[in-house]
Amino acid sequence: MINQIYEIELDHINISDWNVRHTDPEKGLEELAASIAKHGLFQPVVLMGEYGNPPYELIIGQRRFLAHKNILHKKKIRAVFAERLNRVQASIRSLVENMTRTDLNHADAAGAITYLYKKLDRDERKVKAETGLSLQRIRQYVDIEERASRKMKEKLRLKKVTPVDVQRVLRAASGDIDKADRLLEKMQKFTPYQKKRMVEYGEEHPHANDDKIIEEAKRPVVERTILVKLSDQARAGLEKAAQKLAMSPDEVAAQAVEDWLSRKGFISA
Amino acid sequence: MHKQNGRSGKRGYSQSEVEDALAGLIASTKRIHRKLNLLQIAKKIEIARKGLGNLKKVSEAIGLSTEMLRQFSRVTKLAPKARRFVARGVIQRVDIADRISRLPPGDQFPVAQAVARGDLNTDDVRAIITFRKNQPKLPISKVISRVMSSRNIKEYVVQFLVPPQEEMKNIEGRFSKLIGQDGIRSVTAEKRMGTLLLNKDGKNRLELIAKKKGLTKRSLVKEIISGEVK
Repeated sequence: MINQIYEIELDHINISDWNVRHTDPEKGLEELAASIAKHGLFQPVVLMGEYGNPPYELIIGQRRFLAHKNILHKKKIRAVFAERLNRVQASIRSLVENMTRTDLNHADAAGAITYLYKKLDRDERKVKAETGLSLQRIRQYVDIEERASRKMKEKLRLKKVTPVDVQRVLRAASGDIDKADRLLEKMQKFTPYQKKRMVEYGEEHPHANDDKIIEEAKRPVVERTILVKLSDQARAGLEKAAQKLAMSPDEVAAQAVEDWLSRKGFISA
Repeated sequence: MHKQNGRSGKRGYSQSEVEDALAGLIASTKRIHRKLNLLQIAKKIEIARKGLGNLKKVSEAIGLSTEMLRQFSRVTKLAPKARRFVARGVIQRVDIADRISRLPPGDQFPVAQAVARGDLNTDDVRAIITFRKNQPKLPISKVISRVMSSRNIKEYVVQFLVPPQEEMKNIEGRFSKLIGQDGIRSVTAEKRMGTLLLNKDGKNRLELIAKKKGLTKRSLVKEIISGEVK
């Protein structure tokens, strides 16, 4: 429970390793300091420890703390004390606080979320319950943190690539991390359609090298739709199957035709 | 809550104005062929929102999600030149209009124009938005052409038996006359198995003619081959 606000000497505060923000904590600090100088500090920083028994550990409000210390050269800062937290609880608090803002770097968020994921029995639903993030977003962070190369993470940190593109090359490279690095390098000017083809071709051809995957991704695929006349009975059956299987009638028809041709030996399995 | 009588809301819409707006929304948002264009719908959403107090209440009143209502409302954020396509009803799909509104104002008109020409579909506009973020300095015309040229090529195949008494060049001539040469990639025959290969325009024209004649596409093809339709 957070309660009373105290004026705490800056010298009595250390930045906790549990604070999730490790990248660019000084970014935009001048603006923040100017705002604090003009309007004051609206939101106190959050500390761990026992009041009257310094040093204290700062878990939330690193940038506010740095603005006070390095730019405004203040001696004290408004702070509240969190209840006794273990590392997981502190990480959750710091993460939730920072995730509500847009400027938390992907690498920091991924590191913190993956830490929680591991500590919470590798159960993404528990991470969701604690952080309020969607399962899809949690999976994306964990996937990238666990599978991406250092090079990829660095590019993410510098915002030179998007998390989705990193996931795309990881899929297209079928587990070959060097190939994934090269693909990421080469796909930068691809359109979304080319990126999609890159993933499709890479997954279907796990032994293809990066040059071949890139070449195939650049080449538009010819999609042929065959118009077929069906009896009313077959059409009704197709619609029924599409509804039951939650597929489009086209997909059901394609699968049915392929199955029949395969069973009759007109196409090889 | 809006008042039972008299004016309500900050802009002072009367109960009947709010009810009209709700009725108009119910009639226009739940069907493909709408009487109102997207801007008129956005205006009615605004009246209903002010009358009822918030978007959630409008959502409950007409049975459409708040996200969908927001999508309609975002149409008003379109740059003026792009908005004209919506006002004239040339762009009718809310998802496309919504996506265009997310582009920088200067990019919106060329994209809306390409949509109006039938050159771009929803997926293309989505691809343009993503590609634009990666290529902010590329002229929008190049962004559009890069996306268009990178699409998969869609072809539509119609296979048919060439009647014994019919010559292939006659069948080809009838297809060409009806669908237009630019809609046809090829008409070929091997032994008596004919193959008509259409591009998207050709398929659309075939669809349109079939619709006008009250036939399925396949039945229309059969009639073209037999010479019943020329």
